[in-house]
Amino acid sequence: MADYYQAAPTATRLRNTEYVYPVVIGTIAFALGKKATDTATHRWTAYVRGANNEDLSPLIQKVTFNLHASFNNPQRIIHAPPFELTEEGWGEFEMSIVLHFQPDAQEGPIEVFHHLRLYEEGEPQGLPLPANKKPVISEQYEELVFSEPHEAFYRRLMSTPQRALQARVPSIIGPHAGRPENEAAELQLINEARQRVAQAVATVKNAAAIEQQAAQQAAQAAAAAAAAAAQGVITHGQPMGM
Amino acid sequence: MADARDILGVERGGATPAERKPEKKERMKRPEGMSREAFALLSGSNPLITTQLMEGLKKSKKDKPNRPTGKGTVVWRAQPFTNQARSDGLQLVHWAKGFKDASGRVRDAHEGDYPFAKYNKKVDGDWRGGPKCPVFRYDEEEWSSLIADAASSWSRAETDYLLAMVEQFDQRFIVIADRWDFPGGQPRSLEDLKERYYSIARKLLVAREGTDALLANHPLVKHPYNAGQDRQRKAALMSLLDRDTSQEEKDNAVLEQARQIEERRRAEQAAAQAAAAAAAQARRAAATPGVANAARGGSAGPAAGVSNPSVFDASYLTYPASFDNHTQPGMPSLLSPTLEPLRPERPAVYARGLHTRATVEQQPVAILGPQAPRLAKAVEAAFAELSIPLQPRYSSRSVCGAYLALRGEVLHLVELRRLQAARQAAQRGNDAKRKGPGEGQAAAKRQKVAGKR
Repeated sequence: MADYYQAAPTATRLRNTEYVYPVVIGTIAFALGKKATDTATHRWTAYVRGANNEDLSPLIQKVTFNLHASFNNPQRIIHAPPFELTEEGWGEFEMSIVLHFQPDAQEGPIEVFHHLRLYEEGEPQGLPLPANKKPVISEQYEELVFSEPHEAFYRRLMSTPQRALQARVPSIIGPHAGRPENEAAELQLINEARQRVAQAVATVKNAAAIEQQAAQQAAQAAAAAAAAAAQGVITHGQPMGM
Repeated sequence: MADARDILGVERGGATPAERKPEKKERMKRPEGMSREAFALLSGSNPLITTQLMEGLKKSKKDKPNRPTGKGTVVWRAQPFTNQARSDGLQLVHWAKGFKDASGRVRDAHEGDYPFAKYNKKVDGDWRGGPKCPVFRYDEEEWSSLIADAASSWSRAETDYLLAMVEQFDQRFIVIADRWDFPGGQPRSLEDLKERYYSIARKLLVAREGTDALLANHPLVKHPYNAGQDRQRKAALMSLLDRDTSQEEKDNAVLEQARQIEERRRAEQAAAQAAAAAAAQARRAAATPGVANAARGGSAGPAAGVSNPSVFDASYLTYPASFDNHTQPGMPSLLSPTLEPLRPERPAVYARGLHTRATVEQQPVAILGPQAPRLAKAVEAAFAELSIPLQPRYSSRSVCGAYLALRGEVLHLVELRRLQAARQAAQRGNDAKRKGPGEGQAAAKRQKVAGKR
C-alpha cells in the first residue's frame, strides 16, 4: 500500500494553507457475562475511524496501539483498515494510540491518548455483568490539522473522493458505532460555565464601580469639609461615610 | 528418542507441544478387570468392543433346576386369604409361594397382611398435623346454624346424598358427576357439585377451627373454588379444541396483521419521539449563545445570541462569544492562548484536542503574566467554584475555542479579584492611617498579606 503514496522527490510546503481531517478514536467494550474469567471480564475493541466511517487509508498508513504493560506484547500495530484492535481484559486503562501518516505527508506520527472504558460512569465495577448488556462505547472526536501540508500530499487528498470503508475484515464496531460526543451538548456545558464566569466578572466590576463612586463622594465630602474649615465653620458631619 | 533421531539425522517430525495435546486426550483407558498385559497388546487403534453380552453368558433362572435353597424347596399352593382393606371379610383363594423343608413341612414365603392392602388409600385431609377429617360432615346443629338456606336449591336430602358420594368416591368429582342420580332432583353439573361441597367444607372448617386469620393458609380458604371461572375456563378450552384447520389459519392471519400494525405503530412513535427530541435540542441550542452562532455559522459578536440579558451579559465576556468551525481561507484555525489565530512556528500536523490541552497550560503565563505561579491556588479555587467542565472530548474548533475562552476568562476573573482585593486593602490602609497610627500598621500588614494572596 505504501508504495504508491511515496513522497515526492521535491517536497514543497503550501504556504497559508491548512488541511483539517476529522477522525474518531474510541473503544467499545462488551461484557463477557458467564464466560468471564479472572483475567477477562470484557472483550473490547479500540479503534480509529473516520468521522463519517470513511476509509482512512489515504491518510493513515498504520496505527500503533500501546496497551497496558500487563498485556502480552503491549505494542500492537495495525497496518490496514479497519484500524481496530480487539482484546480481552478486566480493567480500564489509558492507552496511547499513535497515528502514522502516509509517507507522502512527510509528517511525523501523532500520539493521542484514550481511556478504555469498560463500565458506564457511576456503574459499580467488578460485579459480574450479563453478556447481553449494551456495549460501553467511549469515543473522542479529534481533528488532525495539517498546517502547511506538502503540496503533493495535499493535492492527492483533495483529488481523492472519500469512500466508505470497504474492509476485507468485517468491522466489529459497524453495528454498534456510537455517535461522537455531541458537539452541541459540550458547547452548551462550556457556554453555561462562561455565563457563570461572566456573572462573576459583572459582580466584581459592579462592586468596583460602587467603591469608586463611594470614594469619589468621600473625596468630595473631604474637600467640602476642608473648604468649610478654611472658612471657619465647624462641621460635625462624618466626612468618611464608608 | 529425539537424541537417537538427531544422531541418525532424521527430522523430529515437527511434533510441537500444540500438536501433541489432542493425542493425549484420545488415549484409551484400561477397562476395569482387564489385565495390564492384555491391555498393552492393544495398540490403541483397536477399539474395545464387547463381543458377547454378559446377560447371554449368565444362565437364566428358568434353566436352573428347582434345587433346595437354604430355606427349603419352593412349592406353590392355593391358599385362602382376606384383604384387610375390606370391611366385609370376603375370603378368596390365591396361589402363594411356600418353602418345603427336609421334614416335609411347608412354610409360607410371605407372612402377615395381604400385601396389596396398603394400596387402599383414603383421602385423609390431614392439615397442620391436626385431626384428620376425611370428608367434612355436619351434624344437626351445624346444618341448622351454618348450612340451612331456604333460598338454596339444595335440600338436606340432596346434600346428604352428595356427601355420601364424596366419601364413597374419595372426592373424585368426575366420578361423582358421572354417577350422580338423585331421585327427583334437578340435573347437577360437575361445577355445581364442587361448588356445593367446597362451600360447605369451608363453612364447617371456619366454624370449627376459629377465625379466618388462623386458617388463612388453608387451601380451602386461600383458594376458594370459583365455579364461574371454572365454567369459563372449560368453555374457552372447548372453543379452542373445537376449531378446525381453516379457522386456525384465519386466526393466525389476524394475529399476524395485528403484529404488523403494532410494529408500524411503534415505529411511528419512535419517529415522533426522535423528532420531538431534535426540536427540543434545536430550541436549547437557540437559547444558548454561541451554540446558536455555531449552528448558524453566523458572525461572532458579543451582542449575538444573548437570550437572557438579566443573567448573562455578553459584554462581560473577554473573548468572542463563539468560534466558527471553518475559518477563512488562508487563516490558520489553531488558536493561541489569548484566542488569536495561531500560525504554528513549525509547519507540521497537530491534533486539535492535544494542541488545545497544551495551549490551556500556556494560558496562565500568557494572560496573568509572570505572577501566574503565585496565583495558581486562586486559579484552582476559581475553577472549583465555577465548576468548569472537564476537557472536551469533541475537539472541533468551536468547542475548543469556547473552552479556551472559558479558561481565559476565569484567569481574567482571578486577576480582577486580585486587583479588587488590593484596592480594598489600600482603602482600609488609608482609613486606618486617618484613624490612628497603630491600626494603620496592622492594616498595612493586612494589605501585604492580601497582596500575597
